Amino acid sequence: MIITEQACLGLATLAVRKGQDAKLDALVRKSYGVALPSDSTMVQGKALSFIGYGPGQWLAVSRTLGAKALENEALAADLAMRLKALASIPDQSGGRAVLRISGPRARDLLAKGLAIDLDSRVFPPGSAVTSTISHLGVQVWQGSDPQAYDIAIFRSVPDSFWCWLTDSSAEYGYEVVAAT
Amino acid sequence: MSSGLLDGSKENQSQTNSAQHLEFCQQVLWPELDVQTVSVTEQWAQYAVAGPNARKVIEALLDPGQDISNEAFLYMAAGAFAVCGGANARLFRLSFSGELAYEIAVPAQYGDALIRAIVEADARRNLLPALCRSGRRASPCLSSLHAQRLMDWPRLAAMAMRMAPLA
Repeated sequence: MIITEQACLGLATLAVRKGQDAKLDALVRKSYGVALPSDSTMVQGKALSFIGYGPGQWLAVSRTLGAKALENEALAADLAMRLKALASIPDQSGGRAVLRISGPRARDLLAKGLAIDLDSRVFPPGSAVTSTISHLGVQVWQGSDPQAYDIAIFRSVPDSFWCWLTDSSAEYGYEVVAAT
Repeated sequence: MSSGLLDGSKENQSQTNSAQHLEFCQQVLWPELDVQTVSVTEQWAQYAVAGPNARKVIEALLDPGQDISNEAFLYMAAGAFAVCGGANARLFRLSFSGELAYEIAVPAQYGDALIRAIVEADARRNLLPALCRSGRRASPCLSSLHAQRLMDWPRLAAMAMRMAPLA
């Protein structure tokens, strides 16, 4: 099991303004090359991903780490510049910690705390869910790697989550690896 | 599909309740308004700096060219500033102690650095009689600080307005 903090990610919530759904969708397609998901799934566009978590609400996550990545508040700034008055876009980069848990037993680990069926037949790559693990609110999604899950937790509770994560991972063995 | 904010954890119950109240206001009381609400409770780390030298401490944190003199940043003022070399900060001039006081907020990933900068500014000048710190121990890979709620701002503002204005 590999545990990696996705440090310095850009995170922002995107909430469509009243009656602007069609215009927002069109501008997102033009700016980021992807359609906003209408359900609880993740789509990967240029430089960032959008995860649907409520009607007209998405979590935007910068896609990769690297020199050209939109880190921290740069993501919200980029979204606000391109999408202007069509959505409300507060920066949330400081509000969540995002961990990537990967390995052949990652799903077994999550099954200990997440009451969501992560079988690939119902939770294929690109799936996302908002739920709780060990009473802590989480957002969980899967990118292209079917053995890796990204978990966003509120930044004020990572101690508690870390205790659950390391206790639950102990039987499989785990390694904490810095993001590259 | 349910809202992520409405499915919050028990430890984030206050945040969840606030989101539910605001969602009720939007859907039932004022459906005609073009207003979006989202919790930023976790996004900000916030400290109170209170005492007769509070302004000097805050000024030591501000990037050059920003004015928080009594005339420029009045009691009950709130504004966006750059601190510590480019970090975005929100500054509020309010007081619960009766002293000259501010609350300063930065994105939570800078919270640890900010309290260190406050302590350093104080150590250089010995300005504050005491420091009250609201923070959390860092876990092995995650630095974290409790991000104070800003949702109660209107209520706190109303309360503070009843207090005598400070110099």
